[in-house]
Amino acid sequence: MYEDQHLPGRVRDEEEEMDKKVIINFGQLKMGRPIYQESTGDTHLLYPNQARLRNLTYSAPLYCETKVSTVTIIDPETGEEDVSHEPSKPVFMGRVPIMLRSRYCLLDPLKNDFGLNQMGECHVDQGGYFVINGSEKVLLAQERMSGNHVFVFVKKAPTKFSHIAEVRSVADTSSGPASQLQVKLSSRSGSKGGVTGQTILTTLPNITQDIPIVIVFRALGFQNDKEVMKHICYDFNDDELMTSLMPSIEEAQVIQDQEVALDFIAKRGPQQSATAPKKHRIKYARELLQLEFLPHISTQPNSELKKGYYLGYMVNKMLHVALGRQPPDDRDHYGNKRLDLAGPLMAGLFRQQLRKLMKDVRANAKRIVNAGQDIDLSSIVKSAIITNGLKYALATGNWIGAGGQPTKTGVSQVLNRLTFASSLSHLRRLNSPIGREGKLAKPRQLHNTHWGMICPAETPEGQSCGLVKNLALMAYISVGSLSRPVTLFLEEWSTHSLLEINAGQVAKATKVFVNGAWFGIHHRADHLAETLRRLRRKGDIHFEVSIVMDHQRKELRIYTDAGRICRPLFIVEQDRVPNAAGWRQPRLKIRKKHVQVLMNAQDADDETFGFNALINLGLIEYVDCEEEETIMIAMLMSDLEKKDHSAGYTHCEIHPAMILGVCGSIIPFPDHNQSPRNTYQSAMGKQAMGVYITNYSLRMDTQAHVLYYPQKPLVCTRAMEHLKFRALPSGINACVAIACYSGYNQEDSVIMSQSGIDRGLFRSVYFRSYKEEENRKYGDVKESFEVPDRKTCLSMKPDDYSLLEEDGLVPEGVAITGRTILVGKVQPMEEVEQDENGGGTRSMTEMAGGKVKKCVSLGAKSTEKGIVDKVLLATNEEGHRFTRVRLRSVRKPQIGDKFSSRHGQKGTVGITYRQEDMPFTSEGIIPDIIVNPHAIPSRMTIGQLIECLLGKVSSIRGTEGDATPFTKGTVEDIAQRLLENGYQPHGWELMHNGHTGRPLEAQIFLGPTYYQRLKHMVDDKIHSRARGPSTMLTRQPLEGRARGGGLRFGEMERDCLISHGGANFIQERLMEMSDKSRVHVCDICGLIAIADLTKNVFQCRGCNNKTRISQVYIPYACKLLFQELMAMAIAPRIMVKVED
Amino acid sequence: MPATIGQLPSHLEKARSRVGVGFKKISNPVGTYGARTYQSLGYDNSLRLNDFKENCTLEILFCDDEEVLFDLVGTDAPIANALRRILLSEVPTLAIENVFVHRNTSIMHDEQLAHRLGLVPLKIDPRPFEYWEKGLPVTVANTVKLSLRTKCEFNPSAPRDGEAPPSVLYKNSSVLSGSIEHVPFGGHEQSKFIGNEVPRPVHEDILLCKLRPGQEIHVEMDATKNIGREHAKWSPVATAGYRMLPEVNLKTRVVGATAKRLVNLCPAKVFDIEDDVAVVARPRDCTVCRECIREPEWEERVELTRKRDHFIFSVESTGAMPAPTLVTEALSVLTGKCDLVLAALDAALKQRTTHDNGVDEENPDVEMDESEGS
Ligand code: SF4
Repeated sequence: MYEDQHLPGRVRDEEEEMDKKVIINFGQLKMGRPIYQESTGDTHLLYPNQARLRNLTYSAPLYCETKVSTVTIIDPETGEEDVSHEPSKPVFMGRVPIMLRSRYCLLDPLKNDFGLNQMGECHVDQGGYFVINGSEKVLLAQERMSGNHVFVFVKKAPTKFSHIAEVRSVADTSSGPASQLQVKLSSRSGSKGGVTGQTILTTLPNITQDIPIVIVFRALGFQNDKEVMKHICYDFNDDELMTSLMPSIEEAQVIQDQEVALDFIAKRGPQQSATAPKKHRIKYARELLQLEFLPHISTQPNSELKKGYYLGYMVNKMLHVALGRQPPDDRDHYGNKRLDLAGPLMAGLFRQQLRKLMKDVRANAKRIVNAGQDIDLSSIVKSAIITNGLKYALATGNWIGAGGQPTKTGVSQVLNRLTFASSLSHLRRLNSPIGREGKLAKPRQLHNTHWGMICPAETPEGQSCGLVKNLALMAYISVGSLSRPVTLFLEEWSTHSLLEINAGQVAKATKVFVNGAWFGIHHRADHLAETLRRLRRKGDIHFEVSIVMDHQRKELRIYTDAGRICRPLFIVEQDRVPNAAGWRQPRLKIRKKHVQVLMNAQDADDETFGFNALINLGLIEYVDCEEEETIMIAMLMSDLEKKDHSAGYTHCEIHPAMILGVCGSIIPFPDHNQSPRNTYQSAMGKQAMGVYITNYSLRMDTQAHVLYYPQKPLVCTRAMEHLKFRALPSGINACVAIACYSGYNQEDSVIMSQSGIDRGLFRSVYFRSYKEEENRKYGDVKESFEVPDRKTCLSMKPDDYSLLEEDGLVPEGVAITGRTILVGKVQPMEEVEQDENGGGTRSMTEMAGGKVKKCVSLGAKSTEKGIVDKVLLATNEEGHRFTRVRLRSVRKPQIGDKFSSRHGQKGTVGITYRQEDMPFTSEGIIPDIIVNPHAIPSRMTIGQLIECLLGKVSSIRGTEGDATPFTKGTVEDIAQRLLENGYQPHGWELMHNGHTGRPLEAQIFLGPTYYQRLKHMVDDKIHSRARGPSTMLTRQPLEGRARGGGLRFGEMERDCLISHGGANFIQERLMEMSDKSRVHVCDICGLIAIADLTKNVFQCRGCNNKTRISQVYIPYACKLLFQELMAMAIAPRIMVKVED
Repeated sequence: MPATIGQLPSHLEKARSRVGVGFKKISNPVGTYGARTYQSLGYDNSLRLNDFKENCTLEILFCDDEEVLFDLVGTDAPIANALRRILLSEVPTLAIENVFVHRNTSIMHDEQLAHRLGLVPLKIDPRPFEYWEKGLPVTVANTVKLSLRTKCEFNPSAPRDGEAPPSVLYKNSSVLSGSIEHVPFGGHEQSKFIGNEVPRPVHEDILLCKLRPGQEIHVEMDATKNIGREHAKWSPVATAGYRMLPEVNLKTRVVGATAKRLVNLCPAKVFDIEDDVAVVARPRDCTVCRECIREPEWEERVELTRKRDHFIFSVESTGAMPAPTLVTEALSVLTGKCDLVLAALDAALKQRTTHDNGVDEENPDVEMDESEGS
C-alpha cells in the first residue's frame, strides 16, 4: 500500500542556546471512515449520494499518532539532559477526500448490487472519482517524461552543440523537482583555448556555466586521464571512441587535482559561493556533487565512484549516438513516458499540504513554548490546512507544482454524465501538459508504442488533438513497488556491484539498471533475465515489474516504478518435443481446462479463478511499452500454428480488438471504416443520450437526458459486455433506408417517420436542476425561503409567484413555464443607514416606502418549461438550508434535432413524414429514418453498411450480430445468410413511393442501423429577437440566447452590405436599430457640448460658445469611444458643415 | 383492362402493362397513361368507366380478424395507394386521449405513462361514435371512459429465500393492459354506442409499467375517436401494403446443371425441374429478390416483371376492428372522398353554366385541388 512507503514525518524545534527543547513526533497515520458532523453536532456516516445531493465533500478524517517530548538540558557542559515523554495520542490532521469504491469508501464492502442500490448508488457505476462540494471530480492521468533515464538527442545544425545527453534525476523518496543534468557535445566548429575538436561539456544543477566533462570527473576524484577514459570508453581498443574523447581530455589538462576541480566548479556557481573563501567554495562544490548531482544514484557521501560510472555511461551513450552507432532516443516513445494517476497526484498534494501544516505547527509551537505554556496538540495542528488544501485543488483542478514547477490546471474535471460510456471514457482519459499552441506535430501523432496501450481512434479534434488520449481497454498503469526485492535477487544471482569491478570489465559484460540507476554488471544476463522473468511469473517478483533485455546496448533494465502503462498478454512457450511435422510448436500456456474453470468463475477478482488467478498462475503477464519491444507477439492464436512464422513467439495478443478504448469499442466494424470516422464517432458517442446511470431519479444533475426507450444494439461488439453497453444503452435500432426521397434529406439531414415519433421513437426526457440556498450575508442577516409579498418586498420580479407554497418552494408535479419563480427567497434589508448629514439616521425601510425585505427569488430559465419533478430541501456544509428543484420535460424528435449512426455520420432531421408518406416495401415496412446516399462515398463508412446488413440478418433471425473488429466473417457470409432467409442478399428492397404508390426506380438499401440521439436539440437553440435588453456600457443589444440578446451583425455581414451599396440598410441595422444616440457638438471646436434640454440651454465652455451648437446622431458606442479617447488626451472632433 | 382496339407490339405492351425488374434497375415504374400515346398505332389507351367496372376485381386470398390478403386487379397504383393511405391514416378508431392521473408513485413519469396508455389498441367499434376534439364537451357519443387502479404489495406467501423473481415476491409487480377497466357512464344511452361488448384493450398482456411494493397507479382515461393522421395511435392497422404481382419467365430453355443451379439460386423456391427442364412453378412466391438474375448471363435466361395493374394487398389490423371491415371502411372513406369531388365538380359546373358559357373566371386548378387523394 502506498501510505506505508513513507516514513513518518518529524519536526524538531531546535534552538541551540535554549535550555529546553520540545520535540513533536508525528507517527503512524490512521484514516477513519467517511463521517459527517452536522451543524447540530450529530455525527453520522456520510454516503456518497448524500454528499452529492447536499453539496458536501465525501471525505474521511485523518488522524496521526503524535508524541510530544520535552528535553530539558540540565548541564550544558556535560550535555546532561532530562527527557520527559507524553503518551502519544491521535491528533486530527484534516479531512481527506475519498475516492468512490476505493478501499476506504463506504461502498467498498457493499459487494452486491442490492446493497449499492440501498445506498442510492448505481450498481454498474465503477467509482474512481471524488465528490467535492457535491460535484463529481475525476483526476485525469497526467503524462510526463520518465525520470532517471538518459536521453540522447541530436540538435539541429545551427546550434552550439551537436548532441545532448540528459537525465532528469529524481531520488526515490524525494518529492521535489527533478535535478536536471546535461552532457553536451559541442559542434565541430571552433578551436578555443588551444583545443581543437568537439569538446564535451556538462550542465550541473545550480552552476551557471557549462563545465568541461573531465573537470567533473576530476572533482569526483578521478584524477588521472586513464581512469576517466576507462569509465567512459570501457575498452581502450575502441580507437574511434577514444579519439572523440581526446579534445575533452586536452581541455582539462590545466586542472589535474580534485580540489582545484571543485574550486573551478564552485567559482561558476551562484554569487555567494563563487566569492566565498576557497575552503567554503570547495565545501560547497562537494555538497553540490553529493546532494544535487544525480540524486537518484545516491545522496550519501562517498558515492563518487557510482556517480562517476553513471556520468561515464552518459558520455558513452552520447558518443555512440554521435558516432552513428546507435540511433538517438525518441521523445515520443511511450516507454519513456510515465502517467501520474490519482494516487501520485493526491500524494504530491498531500505532501505539500503536510509540509505547510508542519511549518505552521512549528511556528505555533515556538510561540507557545516561548510563552512558557503547555502545548495542546489539537489546538496547534490546524486541520483546516489539509482539509481545505486538498478540497481546493480538487474543486478547481489547479495543482500547484512542487518547488518551481508550473501549476497544472484542469487536472480535476467534473465527471461527464451524459452517457454511461462518456463517464467511463472520462475516467480513462490522459492529458499531456504540453502547450496547446505548439505546432509541433510529433507529440500529437499516434506512435507505434501506443499499440494496445492507447486508443488509436478516441481523441478530440482541434487544438488538443493527440494531446488528450484515452487508455485502451486492457491497458493497466503500474502502481509501483519497492525495488529492494529485485535488487536482493540481483545480488543473489551474482550481479557484480560497480564498487567491486574494474571499469574495463564493463565492455564484455551486460550493464544492469534498476529504475534507471546503474546497479552493476552481469556476465550471463540472458540467463539472469530469464530467471527474473520466471520469478515474476511465479509471483516471487511483483507482476508489474518490467524486465527489458536489450541486446543491442548490452543492457538489462528493470523497472519497478509507478506510472508505466502495461497490458496483459498470453504467455507462449515452445513445446519440449517436436510435433509430427518435426518442429517445436509454440503454444499458449493457457489451456482448455483453465478456460473451463474461468467460465464458471463468478467475477474477475475471484481469487480462486478469475483474471488475477491467471496472472498468479503465470498464464498471462503484464508487459510495458519497453519490454514489449524485446518480445515477439503473435497477433492471433492461429499464427502460432504456421511453421514459417512461429519461430520466436514468446507471447500472443489476447485479442487485437483490445487496442481500442471505451468509445472506440462501441463502434461496430470499425476496421471497415475510414479512420477519422471512428474518431468522430468516439467524440459523438459521448453526446448520445441513453440511460446515463441507473440511479438518475435519485440524482440532481444540473442537466441530464434520458432516452424513453433505449435498445441494446442488434449489432454488438464483444467489448460491450464489459462496458455495460447492453445494460445502459444509448440508442435505438432504427430501420434506416439509404435513399434520396423528396429532397428533404440533403446535406446531411435525415427524414424521420412521424408515426414512429408518435409511437415513442427517440423520445427522451430532459432534466434540469436549479439550486438555491439561504445565505448569511453579513453578520446575522439571513435570507429565508418564503413567498415574497409585493407589499413588503422590494425588487420583485415581473414573474409568476403564484405557484409557490407557504414554504417558498414550488410543489412537485406542477407545470412550469419560463418566468416562473421556483424558489421564493427574501433578504431582510439593513436596518439603519447613515444619513448624508452624518448626524441623523434613517432606515432603509423608510426610504423604500415601508418595505422591509428584498426579493432574491430564483426563477426558471426564460427559455425552459417543464414539470417540477423533485424538490429537495436540506442543509449544506455551513448548516444553512438549501434546496434543489428538478424540472423535467419531454423532448420529442422534431425538425432540427440531431442524430447520428455509430460511424461518425451525423445529421439533423430535415422533415418528418407520416407512415403513409414514407416509402414502403412489399412487406409494408417503412423506414424510420432515410439518410441521403451522398453521405456514404466520400466518407467511406463501409462499417455502417455492413452493420445495416448484419442488423437485417439479426432482426430476421432474432440473434445478436457480432461486429467485433479483426474477427473472421465477411460480407459474403452475411449476404448468404440474408439470402437463406428469402431476402435480397445485399439488403436491397424494391420500394414503392408513399405519395404516388408507384415503385421507386432505384432499389433501396434498407435495414436496421443503430442510431443515437445527440444532445443538441433545436428547442435549446431556437432564438430570435425583435427588441430586448441592451448592455449598460455601450447600449448595444446583449449577446446570447440566455439573456434574450440580439443576433450579431458582424464584420462579414457589414462587408456584404457595403459591396451591395446598401448604405441605408447599414445605417438602419447598425445605428437606428441598435444604439442611436443624440449628442450636441460645438461647431467651432467639434467637441461634445453641454446640453440642458429641459432649459434649452447649450454651451461649449471651451469656446465660450452658446449659439453655434449642432445636434448630431451617432451610435452610442461611438460617443463612448470619443469620451474614452478624450480621457487619454486625444481630441476627436465632429466638424459639422451645413450644405448650402 | 382498357379496351383494346388493335394490338400493341409486344415490347410496348410490356412497357405499358409491366414494371420491368432488372438486376441493377427497375424499368418503367410509372407506365403510360396518356390516352392518345399509342394513337398512331391504332391503340386506344384511354380509361373508360365501363371497362374499369368490368375489369376491376377484388379477390380475397386469406382472411381472418387480424389479417386480410387480397388481390386487387384491374386498377392503377394511385387507387391502390389511396386505399393504402386511407387504411393507414384515415379510418378512425378509438384510443386513449386524455389521462387524468390521480396517483402515480411508480418510477414512470406521468407523461410517459400517458403515452404508453395512448398506444394500447382498444377493442371498441368506432363507427357509432362521434369525433371529439379539444374544447368539445365529453359525452357518451364521443368518449369512452376507462380507469386503471393498481397497487403493488408484498406477497405474504412468497418463499423467504429472496431468490424468487419479482412476480412471485410481490403482488401486482407488473401492470398489464388487462387491468384497464371500462367505467360506464351516461346510463342506458351508452349501449347505443358501445353495443353489447364491454370496451377493453385488444390485448390483455401489454406491459405498461412495473411496480414495487408501496407504489400505486390510479388513473382515469378518456378514449376518443380520431384518425391516424392526427396521431399514429389512431391508425387502425399495424401495417397495410401491397406488392405488384411478380411474373417470372424463362426466356430460354434452361436444362441440366444450369437448371439445377437455377432452382438452388432462388431462395423462394420459385423454380422446379420437370424432365430436366427448369419451369416456373410458383411465380407468386417470388419475392423479386433478383438473385436469379444476379450473375451477368442469367438476365438473358430469366425475365422478371411485375404486373402493373395487379396488386397483392395485405392488411393487418391492430384489433379494434376485424381486418376485412377495415378494408370496407377504407373503401367507404374513399367513396366519400369521391362524392365530395363529384359534388364540388357539380357545383363548379353549375356555376359555370349560370355564368354564361365559356367565361372561365374560376381557375380550374381550384377544382383539381379538391380531388387530392382520390
Ligand atoms: S427474383 Fe428471387 S424469388 Fe424471384 S424468382 Fe428470382 S430468385 Fe426467386
